[in-house]
Formats: sequence, structure tokens, C-alpha cells
Amino acid sequence: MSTNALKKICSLENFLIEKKKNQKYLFIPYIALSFPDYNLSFDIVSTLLEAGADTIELGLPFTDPIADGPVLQKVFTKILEKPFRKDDMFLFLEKLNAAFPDQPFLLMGYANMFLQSGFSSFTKKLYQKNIRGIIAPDLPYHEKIHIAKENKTDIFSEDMAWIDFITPATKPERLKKICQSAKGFIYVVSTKGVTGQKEFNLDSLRPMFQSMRKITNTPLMVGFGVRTKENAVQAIKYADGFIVGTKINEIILENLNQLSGIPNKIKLMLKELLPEK
Amino acid sequence: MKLYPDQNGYFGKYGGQFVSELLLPALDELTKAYLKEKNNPVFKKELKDLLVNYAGRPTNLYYAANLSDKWDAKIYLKREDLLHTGAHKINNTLGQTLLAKRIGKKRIIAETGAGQHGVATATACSLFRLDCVIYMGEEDLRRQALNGFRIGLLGAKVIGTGGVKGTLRDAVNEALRDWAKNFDNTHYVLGSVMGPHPFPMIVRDFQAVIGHEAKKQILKKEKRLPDSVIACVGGGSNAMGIFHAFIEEKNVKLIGVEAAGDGISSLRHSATITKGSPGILHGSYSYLLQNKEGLVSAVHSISAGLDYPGVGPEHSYLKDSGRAQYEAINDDEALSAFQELSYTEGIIPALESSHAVAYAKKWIKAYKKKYNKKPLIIINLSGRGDKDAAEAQRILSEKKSKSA
Repeated sequence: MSTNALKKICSLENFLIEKKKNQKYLFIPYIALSFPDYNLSFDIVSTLLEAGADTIELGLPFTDPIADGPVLQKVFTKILEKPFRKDDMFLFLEKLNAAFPDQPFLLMGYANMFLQSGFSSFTKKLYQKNIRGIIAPDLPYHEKIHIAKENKTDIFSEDMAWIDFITPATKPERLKKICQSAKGFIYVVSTKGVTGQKEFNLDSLRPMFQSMRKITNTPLMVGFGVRTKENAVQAIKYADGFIVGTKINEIILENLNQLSGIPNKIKLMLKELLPEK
Repeated sequence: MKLYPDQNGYFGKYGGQFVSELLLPALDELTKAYLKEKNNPVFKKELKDLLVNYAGRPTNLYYAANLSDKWDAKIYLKREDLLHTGAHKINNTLGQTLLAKRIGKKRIIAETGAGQHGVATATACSLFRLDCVIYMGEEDLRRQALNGFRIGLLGAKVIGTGGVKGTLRDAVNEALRDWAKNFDNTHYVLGSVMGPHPFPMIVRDFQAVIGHEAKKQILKKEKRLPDSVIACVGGGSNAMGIFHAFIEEKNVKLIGVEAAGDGISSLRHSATITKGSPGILHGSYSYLLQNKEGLVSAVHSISAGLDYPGVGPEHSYLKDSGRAQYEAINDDEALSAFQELSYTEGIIPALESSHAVAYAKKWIKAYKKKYNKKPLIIINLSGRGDKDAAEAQRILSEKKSKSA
């Protein structure tokens, strides 16, 4: 990995905003890292980028994924049947960096995975491997502030974008604070619950999107429950783009007996799902 | 001593709210409702009435004469096992369910390990006529089948979680997911002093009645405070409940007893504070059994109620501040204590509480050696052992056939 390539990638937010200038929406798929194995993970990442992903959320497995639904829990459980090592993950990221030198990625992980590796040093290491955004679903906005204060660290305000969430139940004053400080993009949760929701309707959230737009230019990405083209079309009516996770991971889980066919199956599914860019 | 938790839900550096953004409005609403109701005379009176007339408080502080003779000490048992539904859990479920009803929730969910908290929650819901869903690990459903049945009998729905190896942690994961989706009409009755703020505070406060009674009772009977108070610790609610009133009494040793399973140097135990390190699980920062990658360990204990890789944040705080000490008792020692208390005193303790009994025996020995006098101790007998009879019978007969 040359440092030149590193320098080419600016912040996640600028990267996404630049991309959005030339296309109708942003698309971020979410897959579990190393599932079903690292080789296939690499092929899946390639497929997703070819299919139009602007960046990819790579999920670190966790034993107790309280913010994910049953599909991701099942995926994580399967990964953890074998020992999981972050060192292997870094080798995988290096491979991705070599193949896609200008491509920033996102890492999803539960707070304890960052805490045990040392928030600061782990974040810096990830940054060197072109990770530009971190999604920690059990690390809400006010606990980030608390951790930063306790550890006298500035990691949450440095170059790495720690993604904040807004949900239909977020109170207005909190929404304002989050929008004002958000970096990278804002993860807008479409509905209550965990990932893999079956219901999807954003029309009732129109006022929330409007008030967010007034406060921030940071891209708004809708997640939780985007499963069809109809969902996707609705998401880009209100937001800058959307995140698709469960639907992709379902395909992987359903095809564990014919691994080589998985990338193509994902490609076909996305052809159906993605609106014209 | 400062009052904990602070307004952010921290006990020193432990605690907090490490949950998805989705749950925060529910936690905020609960914190506000609880702080408002806890000093409301109507709420207090209603709860007290329930604890006295329905649950059976105050519980006896029983002088265990036979055991005291045998172990050469003065041993009192705080008889939470005599409460309705057979364990201390009902103190908390009546409090939380009453609170939920007062803030207009129509549906109650809970996780359960041994099934005691599930039964106690289903009981309160039956009394208050609220819909109730209990999440229970499938392995726990197997070894505590009777409690699974009791929960159904009380009109609640039991949902098995986590596959064949499912235990308490899987039940917590699933209950948190349900709550994230349904908090508008649903209250989550968390069963221990764990999880995100305000649960560690609320559950401690509802369980603190144990220690307040015990303190009054021992002063009346012995005219002095005990040398130690000993309680088992899984999540840690019965221990926090009995410790709370004694925290300011610096001469009273507070001892929490964890489950050492096959032994703390084996990989099969649940001795979180003894062998763990601080980390984040199920919404709070506290001691945790984990590997160096930050993944939470698989744990084991003979007792389903202690079979949990985390512990309540206030215990972590008491441990670090030195105010309480934490020890571990293995499966075999707990099983022996289970038998010894049964035939010596005519009281069959829960396998959870048996860990406290087993450590008391060791502690007394050490105390006498050091001070050359009999100690005065209180053991919190958090629950009765009926639920464990079948599992204990199975293990004991296995041992017998092995040694034969």
C-alpha cells in the first residue's frame, strides 16, 4: 500500500458528496466480513463495487449483536464457529486496498471490539487501511462524548467518521445536536427495531427529513428494511441514498452449499433492486 | 460516600447506555418515570402493600442453629426463598410492573435464565392483567423445564432463544431486540442490576428492601452488625439488594460469590469479576468474560441463574473501590452446599444461593483461623431449590454411577 493512494482518499463525507454530484443516489451494501470465507468475501466486495456500491459497510462479527436482527445474528454465529482474529481482517483489508486503491470502506463493529483494541490505536490502524467510517451501533452519540472525555481523546472528531444514527423516535433537540456534529453520513433508521425489518414506509418521516436538511449537508442514508426497488425509490425521494444489508446476507446464507454462485446471485438481485443511477 | 449512579448512569467509570439509538427514548422515558414515581406516596404505598400482602415481606432473618453449631459460627439466613414464587426476583418484578402500569404500558417482556425472573414477571403480569412475553434460552428451558411450564401456566408466552446452547445472554439479546421494536406499548422488566441505565439503579432500588430489612433484623436480634454479608452474584441483583443498606457500614464485609463452574482455571465458568476484564455487553460498561479480540466468552455454571458472562456495573465499581470482595465457588462445592444445607437445616436452597452457602463455610474457617473467634454472618438465601431438584438429581446420580 503506497501512502500516495492513502492521500488520494479524502474524508468519507467529501468522497460521498463528490460521488453524489454525478449520480442520483448513493448506495452502501452491508456484508459480514469473512463470510462465508475471506476469498468469497473478496469476490462479493468486487461484485458489489461493480454493481454500483459507492462504499461498503464491512461487519465485524460479534457474539451478542443486539442491534442486528436474526439474519445477521445467524451469520455472525456461523463466522464465530471458527476463531476470529482481527489480524486476519487487516490482511483482508490490505488485499482490498491493493485491488481498489482509491476506494474508502466502512467498518461496522460493536463497541467492545473497538474498546478492547484501544479506540485510538485501532482507529488509526483502520484509517491506514482505507477505512474512513465506523459504524458502532451500540455506541450512541452521548456515549462517544463520554468516552472522549474520560479518555481525553479526540478520536471521534478526527479524520475518521464515526457514523451517527437518527431514528423516528429521536427527540428534536438531540436530532439537532447530532446533525450539527455528524460526519461522513447520517444513518437514518427507517423504522423501529433491529436490522432486517419487513415494513418500510418513509412518508410519515417527511418532517424529520426536512428538519435534518435544514441543519446539515452531511449525506443522509436510509437503512433498516430496504428490500425492494420500491423501498429504494422511496428512500432516495427523501434521502441521499440507502443501505442494504439483510437482503444480501440472506442470499449468502441460502447458498452456502453452492458458494461459487453467490456473487452472481447478488448481482442479479441488485439489478432488480437498484433504481437507475 | 457519593450517591451512585451519577446522572449519566455511571457508577464511577462503570455503567452507561451502550445501546442502539433506537432504545434511548425508551430509556429516557423510563428514567423520568421512575424518578418521578419513586417518591410518589401513592406508588410507594401500593408497592409496599403488594410486597407485604402478595409477596410475603418482610422475610425472616433465620438463625440457622444446626449449621451454626456445625460450622462453629453465628449464621443467619435471609430467607428470600420464602417469598411468593420462591426467590427475591418478585421484589423487582412487582416494582417494575407497577411502574409500567402507571406509565400506561400494556405489554411486558422479560429475559430469564433460571426461569425465576420469568416466573416472577409472569406472576406480576397475571396480577396486573398485562400481556407478557418471556425470552428464555433453549438450554435453560431444558434444565429448568418446570419454570418454563409455570410461566405458561401463569398466562405468559415463553419464547426459546439461542438454539440448543441458548442461555441467559441469548434471552437478553432477544428481549432488547423486541423492546427496540415495541417500546411504545411495551416495558422491558430487566431482571438484574445490569443492562443500560436506568436498569442497574431501578433493580437495585427495588431489591434494596432485602438489606434494609436484614439490617434492622440483625440489630434487633444481635444488637450489632454482622461481620460479613455473603450473597451469590450472576448479574448481581440479590447481592446488590442485600449489600446496599450495608455499604456505609465499613466494618461489615460484603462478599459476592460467583460461579466457578468446572474451576476458574478451566474454560468453563462464569466468574466474571474474578477472571474477567472491563468491557461493553448488553448496554453497560462492566467486568466481562471475553477473549483478547473483544468477543464475549461462552460461559458455564451448574446454576442457570449464574450462567452469564457479564455482571452489573455497580458490582464492578464496588470491586474496584475495594468496598466488596468477589470470590468464586465451583459446581461441585455448590452442589455439596446444596446438599449440606438441605439435610442440616431442612432448607433446600437454589443452586445459585448454594454458591453463597459454600463460600460462607470457607470464609468462616479463614476468619476463625485469623481472629480466633466466631464470626456473625448473614447469607442471602436468594431462592429455594425446588426448581433445581431434577437437575441436581441427574448430576448426583451421574456422579454415583461414575464412582461405582
